[in-house]
Amino acid sequence: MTVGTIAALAVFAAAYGFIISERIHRTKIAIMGGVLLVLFHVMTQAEAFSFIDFNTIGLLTGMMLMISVIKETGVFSWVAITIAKRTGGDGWKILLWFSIFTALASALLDNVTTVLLIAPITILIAEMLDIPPLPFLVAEILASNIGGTATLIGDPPNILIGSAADLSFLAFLVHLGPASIAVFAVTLLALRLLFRSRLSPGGAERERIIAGMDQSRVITDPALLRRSLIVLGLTIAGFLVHDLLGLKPATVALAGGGALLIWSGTDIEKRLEEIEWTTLFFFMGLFVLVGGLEKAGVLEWLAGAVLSATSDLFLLCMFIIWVSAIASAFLDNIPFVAAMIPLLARIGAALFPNAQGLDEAAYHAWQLQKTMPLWWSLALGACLGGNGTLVGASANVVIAGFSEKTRSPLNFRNYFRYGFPLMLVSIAVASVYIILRYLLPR
Amino acid sequence: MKIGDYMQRDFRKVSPHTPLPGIARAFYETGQPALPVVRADGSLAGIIAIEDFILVFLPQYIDLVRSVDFIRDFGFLERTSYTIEERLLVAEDLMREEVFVLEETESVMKAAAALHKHRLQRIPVVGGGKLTGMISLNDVCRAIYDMEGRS
Repeated sequence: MTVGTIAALAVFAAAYGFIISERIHRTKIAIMGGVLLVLFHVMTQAEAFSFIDFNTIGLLTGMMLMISVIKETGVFSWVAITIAKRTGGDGWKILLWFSIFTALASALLDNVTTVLLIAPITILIAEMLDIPPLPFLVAEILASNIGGTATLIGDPPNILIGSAADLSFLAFLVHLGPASIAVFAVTLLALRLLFRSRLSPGGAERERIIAGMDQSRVITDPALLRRSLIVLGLTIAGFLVHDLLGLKPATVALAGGGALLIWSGTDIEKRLEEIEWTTLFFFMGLFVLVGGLEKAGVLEWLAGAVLSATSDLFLLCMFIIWVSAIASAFLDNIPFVAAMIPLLARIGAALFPNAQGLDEAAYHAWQLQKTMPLWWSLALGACLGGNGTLVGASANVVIAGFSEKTRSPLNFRNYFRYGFPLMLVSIAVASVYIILRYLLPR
Repeated sequence: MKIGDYMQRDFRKVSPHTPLPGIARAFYETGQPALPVVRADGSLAGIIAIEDFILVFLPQYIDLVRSVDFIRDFGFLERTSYTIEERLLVAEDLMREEVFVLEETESVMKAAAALHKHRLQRIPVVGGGKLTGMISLNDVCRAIYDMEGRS
């Protein structure tokens, strides 16, 4: 081992230790860890910057810009109130449709924003109906993480995987969409069995109050709403065809963000304040940290170790999905996935070498096709694993915060009772999906 | 111009053990925005702001939504009796204990500056360790009138 390898390993291990302990904010650690690698000459400054995946950063920034405008429009409250009125105050139907809406919104926007906007109005409506909000909040946590699994932009692990493995928006939708729908259906069924009896409203009077709500009052600026929805719609259309157009997802997201900034006439200072700089800098530092491992040859060694244990695709996929799920339930899934990606890339290259002498582009396409089950296993495990505990994903923590203001606050234990078993069920469903779709010999 | 010359000496106070109905009554009968809570020996225990009192009857989740304009019927927040928890609440439980206070001997303009800086409606005034008065911006106006208006 060279001094550089030792330094890279030490910085990486220390940084991950601090990130897991959560004593110091993860973004501070990521920035400092990345800087230390350059200070210790593990890599040059230019190399460090080259490890930062600006496709991920650009995609996140573009979506954050659009979301910061959409947030202002009141559209989430509008949808929630409309659902509550249409269902006539039926607790189960409200839970069902709120979950569906949360899943759809999380697939297209980020999970934290979705729950930030849907949870407060959910709590209000539940309390107005005199139903404890807890079942609704548990359902929304699960829905946001399951919905986020379905698309490239739904959850940060997917953005990382898509960018690194060069998988398109459409590929995510086609491959993870069906898995997410299957998991979601099973989850909804379980929620119905678990909570059905606890969802009856507190009387006809309460239902009348719900029916009397006026959702038009929550739309403060209809013109802004129209413009945001048009831009969001076009951006999603752009995502669906970005591969055909030869564009990266970040270009599409930034085009949407830029267009909405100009068309909405919004204050740029305010919009830039809403950008989650902590997230962006966390990713940048993390890319450099993982780059250090790559440069020091640690990942090659690790890939070799894994492959010497097994080179069976079935075992590898099952190992990845279950380990990712358990790890993501307790730890931050972003650094986990960031470190797994270059490892999987190496395993993929070793499993499927260019034996036929294909040219580079053709080999890349062929290899991607072959290694897809590995990537989908990682995405499903990391995203769905977040449902396992109250700290498994940022959206869970946000909802837990809101629930403090209700009669039935969520805590680690009362969430674990529902979340962990349902997460295991979802991973089982996802494993069956992976096996049926990719691993059975045809 | 000393605070002692302009402050209100006649105001309603409650004891640390006054229950909710007594506090509600003291607020509506006097129109005061804040009620000082005074111990038996005349010393100041704390102060209850009317906003804090109202929050007992408004569920916390109301804070979560940006606006409540879309709700036409607030009947779900009305009730005809106090809950058991509310029956047990007394002035001591609602008051803010860390209260900014002024001395009678200090300048009225210090009261003006403090009211403005801390965005307060009223500041309790103490003399000899006991609550002796309350000063508000209206009292400051009387001092300003004395200073300028009469000339």
